[in-house]
Amino acid sequence: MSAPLLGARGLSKRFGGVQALDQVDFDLHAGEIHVLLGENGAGKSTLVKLIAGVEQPDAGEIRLDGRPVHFAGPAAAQQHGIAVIHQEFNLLPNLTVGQNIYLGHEPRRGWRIDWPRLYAGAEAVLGQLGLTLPVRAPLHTLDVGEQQMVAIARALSREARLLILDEPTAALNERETERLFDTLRRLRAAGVGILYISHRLQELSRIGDRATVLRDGRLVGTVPLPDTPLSTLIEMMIGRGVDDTRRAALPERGPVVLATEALTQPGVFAEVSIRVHAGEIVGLYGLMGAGQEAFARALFGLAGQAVRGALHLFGQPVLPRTPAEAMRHGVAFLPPDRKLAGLCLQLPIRENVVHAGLRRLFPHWLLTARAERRLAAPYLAQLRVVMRGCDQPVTELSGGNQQKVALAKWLLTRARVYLLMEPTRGVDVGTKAEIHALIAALAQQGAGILLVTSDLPELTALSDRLYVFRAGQVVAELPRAEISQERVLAIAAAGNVHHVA
Amino acid sequence: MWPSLVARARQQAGRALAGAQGSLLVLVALVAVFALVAPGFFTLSNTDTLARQGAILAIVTLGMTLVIITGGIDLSVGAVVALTAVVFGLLARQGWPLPVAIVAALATAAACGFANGWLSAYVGLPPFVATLGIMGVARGLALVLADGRPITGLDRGLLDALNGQVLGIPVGLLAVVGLGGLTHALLAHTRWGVGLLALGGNRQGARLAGLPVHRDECLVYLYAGVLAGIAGFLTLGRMDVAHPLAGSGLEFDAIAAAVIGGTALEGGRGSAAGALLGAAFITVLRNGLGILGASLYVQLLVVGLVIVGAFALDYLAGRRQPLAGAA
Repeated sequence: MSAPLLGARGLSKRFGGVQALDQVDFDLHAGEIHVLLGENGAGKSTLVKLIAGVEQPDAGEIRLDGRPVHFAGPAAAQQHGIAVIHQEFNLLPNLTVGQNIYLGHEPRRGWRIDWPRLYAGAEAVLGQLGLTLPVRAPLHTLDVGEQQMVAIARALSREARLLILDEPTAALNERETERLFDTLRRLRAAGVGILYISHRLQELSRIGDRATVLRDGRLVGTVPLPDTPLSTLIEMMIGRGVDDTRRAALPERGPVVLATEALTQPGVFAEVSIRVHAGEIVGLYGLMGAGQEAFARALFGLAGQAVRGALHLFGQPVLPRTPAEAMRHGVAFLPPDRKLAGLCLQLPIRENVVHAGLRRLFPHWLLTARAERRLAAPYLAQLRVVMRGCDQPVTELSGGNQQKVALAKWLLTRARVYLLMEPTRGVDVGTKAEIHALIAALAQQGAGILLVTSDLPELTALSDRLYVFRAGQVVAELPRAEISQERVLAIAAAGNVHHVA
Repeated sequence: MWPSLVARARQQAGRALAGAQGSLLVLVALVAVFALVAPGFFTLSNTDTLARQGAILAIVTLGMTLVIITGGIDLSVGAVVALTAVVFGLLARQGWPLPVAIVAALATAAACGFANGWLSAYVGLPPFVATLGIMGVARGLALVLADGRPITGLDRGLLDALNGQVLGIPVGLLAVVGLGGLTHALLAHTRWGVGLLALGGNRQGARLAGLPVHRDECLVYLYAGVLAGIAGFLTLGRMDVAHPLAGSGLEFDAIAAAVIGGTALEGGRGSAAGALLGAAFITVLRNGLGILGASLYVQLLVVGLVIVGAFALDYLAGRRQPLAGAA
């Protein structure tokens, strides 16, 4: 066989302290649909960034048609016929369909853009995909599936030979997914190489020829797809010898502290009914965009008026419309991104710790640094935050210690319900264990905990019960005895995609 | 052939105005109100005054609009107007040939614009900070060079030419029409123009589409600087002197005019036609208020209220129909 369209040899990339990609070899042939698999943080998106020229590798090389290439930026990769269709498409909603397709390489007559030729060309390219779309309409008037076709048409108009699709079906319904697959098969027949990234394991055998699995930045293997059973792929993704230690057996379960009845946010999640008891850790799992994160946000009042249905906190019917309202009812919320939403990084530790409790701790308006220190100290000590002193700005702490500060902030509010999202993301192993112990201790003391995490080992180790989300709905409730990583992933990734009503 | 050309021209003009229809209506309403309540507003001599007053603001607003379309802002335009005038005045007084002095003054404006663009696009400063700094530099330089005093004794011929008319149309108005047409052509018919819209609509998307985002962004500030320089020459004609405090607060009116002309402050939307309509609106508003006896202070107050109102409307409209990028 001739040299593969794309060959990667020994690709490595480090981001800060994390080895995102470690000595990865990878081949992709023309006329092949090659699936890239791996859990969150396995290195898939890093590999794509290197191939697309968004980042440069620390070591290793990329070859096109057997010749080594070096991409200084996305534009250089595009000139070599590599096109990436990102999950969010990266189209320009304010421009027309035709402008989007030809963005950056508009046909010109002299210095002027040749609009008639551009729109005729756009129609022709869409025609190749078997589509008729209004090329002069602004992009935002199209539905999501059509917008994705525009993204593919843009790649075709640049005569892309290698098409990379990142989670292309995440936002598509079944009919749109089928149309996408038809288009991809058509492109494959025309000799285009396609790299396909998806978490939806069930759909892969319908479209993929081969699959490459990454784990912790390393290559696990490349297998022919239709012949490889799903269970094997899941095993490859999760790996052997997973740390499957569970926390100690469930103590006596208390009364229900949080219960929802048919909670719905149109277009995001629908008819979600769950309950959490005092002293219980309840896991929520779903693929990206399945609705579990939005659901947790809605419980904290972050979806405002958009939510319908009922929420009971400690038996009281309340549906908070603002975070302040949720906090008054004893709810704490740890956001998934502490840099953006969790902490004020430039402020000293002590100020961050008292932020969520200002109303309760300082009823007379006056704050003093001394009072802040006195209030924060016991919690910082309990969490063993490694710091020079609590006047130190949070930004100087390590990721794990920042997360402890974010947790301390909520401990100070004496909340009885904790919504914890990705509590150990980007945290080192030791701190992770400490945070897990803290979560378990909170439950022991009678708090109800809702744990939203994409970290499967964490989920299975901590959860007493678990709800699986798919396409905005709860599709399974697993008691402790039935929780396993394989099972959870299989349920979350299974089946057809339905649009949420 | 001829009818089809006319039809096409009409069609194109219609498309250019489509985004600015609201501003056109508001402008017509404002003119109607002043025609009714302000004696002497609807006279030939006042129309001439309007054109002269409005030309400076209109030209600056064209540049400001392109900058805002990319999601940026240019606070330095008023100061660049003054610096251009002062540089020209000094060189002319020292006996430099007129064309050389003109080119040198415009080059100064271009340099200011380039500094804005380089700091914003390549150094990565927020445009607000970059152009705030250049505003101080340009204004300070103008005051230092002119020793804080207006430069008098400028070439009478040039002043007359700037104040004059061609075929009965004031020179300033001709400049507005020419530069308005140029700006429209650049925005609607070149890769650069589409790139500016893309930059403001989705910066990351534009970068990933392989567009030269840094170059495009740098050039837009350069363009705005040159337009401010041209406006600087028009102030010579209006004031008969090169004043180091010319164009004070002009950035305020230009931003207001751009927003009223339908430019989205978050970027990604705007047009040359809208910029001209917005500038006409602010000019008519100030002129009409003046005829009614309102002081400059009251005018400022009213324009401020109008800005807040226009921003609020823009924000509310944006909220009602969010861009589909989030869908």
